[in-house]
Amino acid sequence: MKTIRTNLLCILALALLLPVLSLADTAVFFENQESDYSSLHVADMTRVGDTVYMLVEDDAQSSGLYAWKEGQEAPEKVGDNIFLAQYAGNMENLNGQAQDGQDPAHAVARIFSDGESLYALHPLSGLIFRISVENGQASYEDVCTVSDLSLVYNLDGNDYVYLPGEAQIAVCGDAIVWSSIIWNEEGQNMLLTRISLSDGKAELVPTETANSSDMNRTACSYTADAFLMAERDWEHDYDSETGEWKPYQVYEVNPVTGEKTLFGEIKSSNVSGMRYDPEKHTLFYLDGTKIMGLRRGEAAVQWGFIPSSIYTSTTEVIGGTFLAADWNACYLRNLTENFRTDNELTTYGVYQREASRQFAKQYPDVPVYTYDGSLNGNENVLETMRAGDIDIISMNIAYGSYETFRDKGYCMDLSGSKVITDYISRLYDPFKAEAVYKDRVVAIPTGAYSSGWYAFNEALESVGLSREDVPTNLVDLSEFLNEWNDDYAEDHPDVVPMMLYGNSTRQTLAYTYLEKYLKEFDATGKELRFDTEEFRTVMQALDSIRSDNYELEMPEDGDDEAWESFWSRGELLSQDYSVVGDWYPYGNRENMTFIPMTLTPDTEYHEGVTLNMVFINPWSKHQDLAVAYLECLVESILGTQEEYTMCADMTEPLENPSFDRMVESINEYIAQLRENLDTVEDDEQKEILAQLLEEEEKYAGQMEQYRYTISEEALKYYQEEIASHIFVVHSNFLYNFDPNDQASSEIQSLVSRLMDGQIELEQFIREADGKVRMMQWENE
Amino acid sequence: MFRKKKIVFLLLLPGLLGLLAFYVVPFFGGIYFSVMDGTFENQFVGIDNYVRVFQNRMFQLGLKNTWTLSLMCAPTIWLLSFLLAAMLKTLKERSTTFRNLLLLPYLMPSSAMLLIWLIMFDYGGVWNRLAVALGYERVLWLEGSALRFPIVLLYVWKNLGFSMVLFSSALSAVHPSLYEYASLEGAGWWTQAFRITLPQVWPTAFLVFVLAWVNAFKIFKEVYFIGGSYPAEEIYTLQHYMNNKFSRLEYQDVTSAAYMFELGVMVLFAMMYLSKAVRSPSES
Repeated sequence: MKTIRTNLLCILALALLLPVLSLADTAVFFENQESDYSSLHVADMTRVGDTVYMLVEDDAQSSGLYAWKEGQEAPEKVGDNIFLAQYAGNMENLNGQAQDGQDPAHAVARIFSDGESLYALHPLSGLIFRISVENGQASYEDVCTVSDLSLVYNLDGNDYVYLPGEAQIAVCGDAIVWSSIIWNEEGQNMLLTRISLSDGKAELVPTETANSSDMNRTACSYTADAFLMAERDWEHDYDSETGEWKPYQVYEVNPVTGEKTLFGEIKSSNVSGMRYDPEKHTLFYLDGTKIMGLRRGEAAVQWGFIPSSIYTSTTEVIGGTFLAADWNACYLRNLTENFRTDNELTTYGVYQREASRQFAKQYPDVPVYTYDGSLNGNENVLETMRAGDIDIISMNIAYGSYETFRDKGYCMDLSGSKVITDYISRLYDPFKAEAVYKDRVVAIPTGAYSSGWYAFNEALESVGLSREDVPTNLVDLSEFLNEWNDDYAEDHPDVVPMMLYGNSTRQTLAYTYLEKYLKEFDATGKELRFDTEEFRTVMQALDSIRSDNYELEMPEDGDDEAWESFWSRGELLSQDYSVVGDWYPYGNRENMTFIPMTLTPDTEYHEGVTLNMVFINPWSKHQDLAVAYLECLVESILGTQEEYTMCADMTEPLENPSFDRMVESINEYIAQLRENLDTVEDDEQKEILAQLLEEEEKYAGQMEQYRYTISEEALKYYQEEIASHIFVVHSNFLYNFDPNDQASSEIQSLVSRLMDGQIELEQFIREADGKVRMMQWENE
Repeated sequence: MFRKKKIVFLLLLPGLLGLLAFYVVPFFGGIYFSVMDGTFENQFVGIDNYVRVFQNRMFQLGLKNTWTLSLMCAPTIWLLSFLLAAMLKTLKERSTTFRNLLLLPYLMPSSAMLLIWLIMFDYGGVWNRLAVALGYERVLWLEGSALRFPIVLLYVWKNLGFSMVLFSSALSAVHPSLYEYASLEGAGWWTQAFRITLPQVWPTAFLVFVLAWVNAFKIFKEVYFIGGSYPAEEIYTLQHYMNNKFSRLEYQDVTSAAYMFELGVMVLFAMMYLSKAVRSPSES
């Protein structure tokens, strides 16, 4: 009896402790302050014994080597003179970047370890060397040089060498395996290269997929005789019938013989940051924000989470701690097998990393996951919402079904949050209208965007035209293009009215014209009809376009000369620059002039904006947390360009936080150039340096224009010329890609047939109008 | 006796549970949907949904077209299958072979049949070439109201065999002596078919009739495959209306439409069933 009582007490104690044990301890190193370019970032890390070494840099490109052991509060700088230079390109640039005390011959691109020593790879020469640190200084011992650089770097034909991004290094005894994406004459190839540390000999690992353009692969160290590799075919990675991602196959691979043995499977849309921990016999990896662990022959289980997804492979495992780093921060989490928590949030379609990071500061023990299923159609989304499987949803009004969900009351009332309601009250009216339903705030608008027409002043002047010659409606645009084709194209072969990418002008503009027509109805609130004089006028204008005198076919792959000629042509007009969302064009209005393009000479200018809405599932089991997350989302918008896009009450310009750094940087560069100019003896080099100096000084003189990300002038222009014409684009058949919405597919099919000439305009009008009318009648 | 009934009940239980779970419960669940407003608050609205749906012109169009197509298909199937069954009865040899051949279309996957139909009725397809050879104009069979013909033909071709098999089974139960007496009295084939055969098999005929109507109501996937969610007005059926509403999460409209249609069908079949000829064929 006594034994039973004791056992029961132990079990009870364990049960009470378990939730506590499940809570992962957290720490964050090198957290980046937004736009603070002196913030440090972890570029790479590796473990040597009981120490994790981190290559750290700031945006001034000063760098250092840091070391951290479990139990330490923060990493300690141990190598002040380390020269991190991942993307130098050539030795000249590398020498130019080196600061006092830094050795370009031992510049570091990547670090790795065999468990006992710290190694580094040079960014250009293929040199592999050991790094030792003492008294805050690093010293180097050369080990070997990679024999075939083409297996390790991207070799540009212009003698530039680039390190492939996201390459993984696996150490196997006296060799390393380098898994990377290399661009060469054949295109993109996923290479698996074995490099001997004794003599630098580089050769492909003898497996059938060692040189493949079809595999999505990641690798990591395992044992002295083998490495672990997770592979999946790019082209067959998703089963559209079941809506599931196909699993990665994880193999143990012998780098000498190429022999593969199955280790396990990872069922995930994406795998990154693989690290094998021999003490736990577990392969750790990141699946979104989840830290997962896979043991041989078993299913993967969760061991913890990180606050927001990272997109690098910079991870490490030491003891009971998992480290994951990207540009924004280095996160540390304690590992707990079969990690569970009652409080968590699941998002769908939400990619707000800054909001996630801010949420993590307030709620470090609440994970935010991304829903990993595939939801095809409104019914699936609704079922998932009713089940409480997703808490926060993001939908685009134009491309999704936000309005359907909103009108059905499937967006939780957010009116109780002052942070949210205050933000909503400041929005431009069209944005506010989408967020409020029956006097309740139900969603937060984010990501307003539109693109439109711009004229390039310099190009216009070069051909004797001016801003006044540029058309302001689509009907006149057709005439302008025809005039160019007939009267200008031959005399100006190096200028085109618009840059085309493989399609004819008519094909490129077909959807533009149709989209503009649809937006006209959206903006004015009229019922859509195609049987109108305007539609016939616009389509006839489209049909009349002639472009045979200036259209160029896309060059063949590898024909660099043709490509250079293709891209070097000037363009008079472009419809691809941002009007709402990106403030760059407003700061560049000397070179680019916005054209408020209308449909016809008789219609008014309207600026259709696509808008994303983030809302909370009313069936969510974590509503308070979800509201807190949305408040973090609002906080993450404040002080950014997005606030200026969305809010009507902005009055002050937005300063460029990196302006001082930019000025400092260019002045340093100019000083360096002057110094080089004084010391160089070769006349040709002297001339080149003098030219460079002149350009840089001219650039420095124009720096003032970069003081503000959004200047007072740009803000005024936006508020007066654009904002008053904004309307929110609603879902229509051109944008609707819901696979269950057959109606949109049918009309899209009709449009394709019209554009391909398979049907006449009148038949299109008849059939499309019929479908549109029936859709409208159904909704009466 | 009680023990026997208990065993019977136990044997029927799995089927009954399935019926309950997949038919009865959803049936009443659907009624619940049809009287609520369908928002998150889900408030009771009585018959407002029914009124609104009934007044919707697309519902009315769909209802009209559904009945029209059914009127074209069901009696055709019924008559043809009866005649074929009666003819096959007279064949001493190879009747089984013919029966099996006629049943084949029923077994074919619909998608395969639709592809064949699309090829046959295309503007340059077999039918139009035949028409041109005979001196007629081509017809756009796959568009507009002309699509009705291929749809009806497809339906009849697919379902004829199954209905004929049902009739064949019933016909085999008709005593041959009745035909002998009729022949002696001078009755010809047609008279025998409609004065002796049909009354004897009337319950089966009613079943075939009901099945033909029910299947005719379900003509949707063929029209949808060819005409899409919004085909020509003449072939827009009630199923189109419900399908389109479903994809927009308007379950209230879907259920209201379904129950109104259900009511009409039940009234129709009730009227037919109440006919003495159906209930008591021997007396008729």
